[in-house]
Amino acid sequence: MAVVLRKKSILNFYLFFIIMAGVTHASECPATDAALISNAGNERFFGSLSQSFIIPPGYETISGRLKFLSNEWPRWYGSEFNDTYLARFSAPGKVSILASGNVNSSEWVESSLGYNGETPEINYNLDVSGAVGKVATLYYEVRDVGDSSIASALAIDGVKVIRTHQYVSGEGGAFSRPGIISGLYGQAVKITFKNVNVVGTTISVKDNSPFGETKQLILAPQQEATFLFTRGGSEPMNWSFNVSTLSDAFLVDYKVESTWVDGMPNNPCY
Amino acid sequence: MRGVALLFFALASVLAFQGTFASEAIHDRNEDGMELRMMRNDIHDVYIEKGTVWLKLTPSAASEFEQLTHQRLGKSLDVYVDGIHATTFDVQAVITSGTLEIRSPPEALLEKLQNR
Repeated sequence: MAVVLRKKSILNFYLFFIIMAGVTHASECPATDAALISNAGNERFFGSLSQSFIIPPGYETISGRLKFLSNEWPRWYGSEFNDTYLARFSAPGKVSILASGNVNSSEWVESSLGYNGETPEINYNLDVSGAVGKVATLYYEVRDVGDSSIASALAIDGVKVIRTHQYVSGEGGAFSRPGIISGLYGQAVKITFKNVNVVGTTISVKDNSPFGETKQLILAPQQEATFLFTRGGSEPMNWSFNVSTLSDAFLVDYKVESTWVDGMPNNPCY
Repeated sequence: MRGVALLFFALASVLAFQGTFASEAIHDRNEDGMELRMMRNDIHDVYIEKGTVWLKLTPSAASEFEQLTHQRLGKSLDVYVDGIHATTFDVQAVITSGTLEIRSPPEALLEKLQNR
């Protein structure tokens, strides 16, 4: 068996938009897309881009970066032609301004991105743990102020929904007799049993997949034990476990955690 | 005329943007990849059912696979069997079982595994 480290070619996953006003939807995959939003030519003097998506379990941080670009600088810097930008995250119960500013409040350097000036890169990182499973929207806009003849823009890049938890909770329940736990899970499945009876019990868990392992032990009253099963491959994958006992008195609670549960992006996601 | 000029300017802006800022966009997909190249003698047993192949690795190959998945946690892994690309996935756990599931394997791989 050999292991080879290689350089992957840069895949052309970039999607580019010139969007005066519009909506797009996130793919299932946490992806890095780039966009340029310009207010040029818009009758309402502003350009915007929004993307709505569901925050998956285990992915509780959003990050990205942007640059404010403008032709107002340097000629109209400090004037009333003070174009603005805004980046906002919103989800039910949570609204966060990721970045905002205007021409006069920004530091500028000459730009090679097709505009006279650009600001330093603005990075944002937001904890979205309260929004897991909800529809969230990232919204970006750039507005002309004073007149519409000189354009400004917002360059957006590196937008990521970042995985923050290796294991995510799946199903749970109780057994008072032998039974089956099954479902779509990931490369690793942890099943934690707690003996809620007043007497000890044996417990055996058999992975029903080809080459599946069987693990067993004795649980004292109120004792917890975790069984870990792993399999390499793409996620999700089918898992099925037979739970059995040799004891007459069997009363256990269980909870499943896995590297993939329903609502997470497929692995690989591209 | 002014509208055309603005559109031209905006297109030029995008081209410039693509060549610089966007090319710096790094995602896990673009970082160094790792290939795991297995030979037939690394495989202890094979089970084929409904377009899915399960491989049980030999103890030594399983140990290597465990170490590799430990090193590659959170990163991509390409698996080749006998020179045939079998599967690609992001490693989300240290795989201690020595078992690998390959969904929708290429015909050439199925043929090789069936004739091993």
